[in-house]
Amino acid sequence: MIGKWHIFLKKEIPENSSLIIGIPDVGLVGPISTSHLVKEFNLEEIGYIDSSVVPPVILFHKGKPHFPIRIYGGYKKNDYITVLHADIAIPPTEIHSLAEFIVNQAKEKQVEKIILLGGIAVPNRMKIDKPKTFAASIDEKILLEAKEKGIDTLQDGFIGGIYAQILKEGYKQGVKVIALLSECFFNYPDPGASAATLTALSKLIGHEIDVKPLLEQEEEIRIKLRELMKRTVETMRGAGKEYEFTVPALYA
Amino acid sequence: MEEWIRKYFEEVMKEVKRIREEMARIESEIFRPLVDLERKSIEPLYEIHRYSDKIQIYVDLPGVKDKNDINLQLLGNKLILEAKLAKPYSMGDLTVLRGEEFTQYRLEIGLPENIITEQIKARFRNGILEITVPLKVEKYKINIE
Repeated sequence: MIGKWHIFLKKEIPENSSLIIGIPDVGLVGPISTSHLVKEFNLEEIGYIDSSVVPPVILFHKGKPHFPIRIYGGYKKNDYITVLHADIAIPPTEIHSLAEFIVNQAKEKQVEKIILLGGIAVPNRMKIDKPKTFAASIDEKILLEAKEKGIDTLQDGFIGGIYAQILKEGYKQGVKVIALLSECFFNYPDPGASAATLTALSKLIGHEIDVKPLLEQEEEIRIKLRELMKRTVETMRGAGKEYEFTVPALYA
Repeated sequence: MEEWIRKYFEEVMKEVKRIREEMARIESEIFRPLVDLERKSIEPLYEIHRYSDKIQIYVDLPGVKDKNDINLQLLGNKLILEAKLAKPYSMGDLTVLRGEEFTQYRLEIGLPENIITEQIKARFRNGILEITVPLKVEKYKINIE
């Protein structure tokens, strides 16, 4: 079944905002990052995305109901920041439809750029104290901007999963999309990698993000998110992540 | 029947049994939460890499400070891990586990019969326990013409 997605917004998103996305994937780097960002920037919940293909769940936090895929927004100085945060992994069969829907919406709302926060699983993560962050984009201008701001660019390799599809959709529809991916564990929640990703994001958008609280809560986050990590790994099968350890034929 | 054929079929049947058990375990785990209220323990995330001559197990143990807080035992062909958390941990206001505190990790992993018990090794670093279980395997050198 191909999903039909709906968006509901309590407040309109102003033109030229940055849309920052965190969707469960390897190491849960995306949602750990966006969750911290929402708190740090004091963003307000302004809407949600829903579909019949999303598991029929609703979250309650401090007595208030929340949809599993939520939209937050708010000003940071003069810049409007929009965040799309997901608490559930996207089934592989729905990746294409959601990626297309997100980019369509971004285009309609005249979003300036989409920034994908995530991880790139590395087998030797255990030996890495400070994970590196790489920027990946099909848009040369934004990639150059990231490079000039001191973010390394991803040179070789596959990117798999929903972020790969959003990058492709962005290219097709002429929407600027960039992914900031930090070295991370494949199937353990990785707040250390999220801290690295947020540090790179801070350079890119020019607003300071304090990652100290995130690092202080690292162990607690790793314990708390075990269940979500387990569900995410189960959902990720067939989402193209298996390609990330593959050498493309192009380089053979 | 020749001895090697009989042995070969025995090995195949053992492997089929192991796969069946593994499938049953995975099925039963899908809806099972990673907590054990009776033991006040939580189950860690882990991964198993199977090679022809060894099994490599990685267990994520955030909140465990020292290797001396980890107890690793082999009971029959089950590997049992218990690790003490540096401080009791609760799931906050999560209603289904309200008021529950967890003090340790506990994990049971079934191992095949051909393990070399006395050569099992474990190393704890950066909150991850790495266990290497060597396997008894018959090795033949095949000549290439």
